[in-house]
Amino acid sequence: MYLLNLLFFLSLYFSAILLVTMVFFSYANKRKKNRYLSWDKETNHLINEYLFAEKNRVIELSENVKELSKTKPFRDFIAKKIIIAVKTFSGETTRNLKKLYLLLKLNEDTLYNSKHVFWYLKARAIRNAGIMKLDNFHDIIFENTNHKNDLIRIESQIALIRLIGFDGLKFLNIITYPISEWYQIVLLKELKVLDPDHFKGIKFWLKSYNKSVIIFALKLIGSFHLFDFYTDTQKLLQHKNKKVRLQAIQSISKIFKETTATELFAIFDKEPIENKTAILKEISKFKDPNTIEPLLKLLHSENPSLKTKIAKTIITVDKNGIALLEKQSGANAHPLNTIISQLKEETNS
Amino acid sequence: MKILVAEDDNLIRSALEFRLKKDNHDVTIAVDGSDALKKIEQDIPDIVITDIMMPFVSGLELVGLIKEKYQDRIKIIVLTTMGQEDVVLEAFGLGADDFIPKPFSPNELSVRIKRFSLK
Repeated sequence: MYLLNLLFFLSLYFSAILLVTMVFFSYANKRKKNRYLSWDKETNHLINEYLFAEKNRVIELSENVKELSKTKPFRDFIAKKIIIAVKTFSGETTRNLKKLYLLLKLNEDTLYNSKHVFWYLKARAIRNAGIMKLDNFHDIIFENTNHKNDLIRIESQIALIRLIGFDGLKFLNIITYPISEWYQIVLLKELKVLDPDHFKGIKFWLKSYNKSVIIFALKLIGSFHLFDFYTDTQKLLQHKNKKVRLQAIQSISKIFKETTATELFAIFDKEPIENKTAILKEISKFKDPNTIEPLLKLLHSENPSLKTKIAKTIITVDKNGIALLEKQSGANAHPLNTIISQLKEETNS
Repeated sequence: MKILVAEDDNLIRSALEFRLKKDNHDVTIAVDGSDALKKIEQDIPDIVITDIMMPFVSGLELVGLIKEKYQDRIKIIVLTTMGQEDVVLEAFGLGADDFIPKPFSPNELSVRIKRFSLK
């Protein structure tokens, strides 16, 4: 009986504790939510005032904002909001937001975090410095463009471009870590929103010992159609690294001239299958009737998959490609006859 | 003009509302695509400004649904992120009337809206 009573009181006791804890947490959550809602209203209003302020109009911070801005959670909160606004709006509005960022001394938090031991805080601070175009962060950003941590490194590389435009590519002179395929795309995307400027370092980057730098420089040549670098690109068709050669094939085709197809056919035989495929893809884009004859010669390749790709290139370049294929020796024998009938079906459908 | 803004980020939403009201437009805001559809049913706007990335009903779905039901009665301006060319083409394919890549100047938005009012 005593044991049962004890168990009953114990369960009652723990239930009470549980209930009090639940009420406490629910109250704390509600308070937090209300606090964030009030911050949200306050910051949205303040940011809107700054976003759409007329020139030279001075906007005073309210006493409430001044008081709140002494606390770290609020500073983080408003910094995040300003960053979102700067990423969304452009022109005079962003200059106003930068004024607000500096007025709240959020740049001091950015500086503190940019030296933080936690990589994610450091990376975020560097990104914010780039978005807010905080010029005095140049050296910190530049020295982190070759950081051992992937995210810090790429955020610094992007931030440097945001800060000083095409000059920011100077990090390519010093980086020893590779730039991944994905981040090369990200960097190109960042550059494409800027007005094309000078490409001072390209010749130097094309000779880099960092293969990814050579590949990226080749991508710049292709993306920005830098015809002046044709000969440099052509030389890289002979590079010992097949990925560099692959990019050279793709880039030279974007700045092609009359002789490009011949140059690509000259390297075709010794290239691995992925580079051969890339050559065929580029040749098909040229739509040059002079490429038909060399393509027909390549048709005698032993590899059936490659044979199909060559045949497809022929019918892309010449609308009478099927007829041309049918005239070839071996057109009635396997595998060319199968390839031709398959291509016929594809073109009919 | 009656303008409905569909944007999931409350700061951007309030900034657009602030600016458009300053230009004397009658502005309704929607927090996502499905909210936008409900509000359009209640009061048909002249223009819908929609973000592409939104929960529940995305901007692209919203464009398709509005154009299917209201055709040219409602003009649609799509807000996209720079470099989303494929998305822009898809939006135009669904019937969007204009697009503005982020970051954009609020003045540019005003000019684009004015252009619709002149048509």
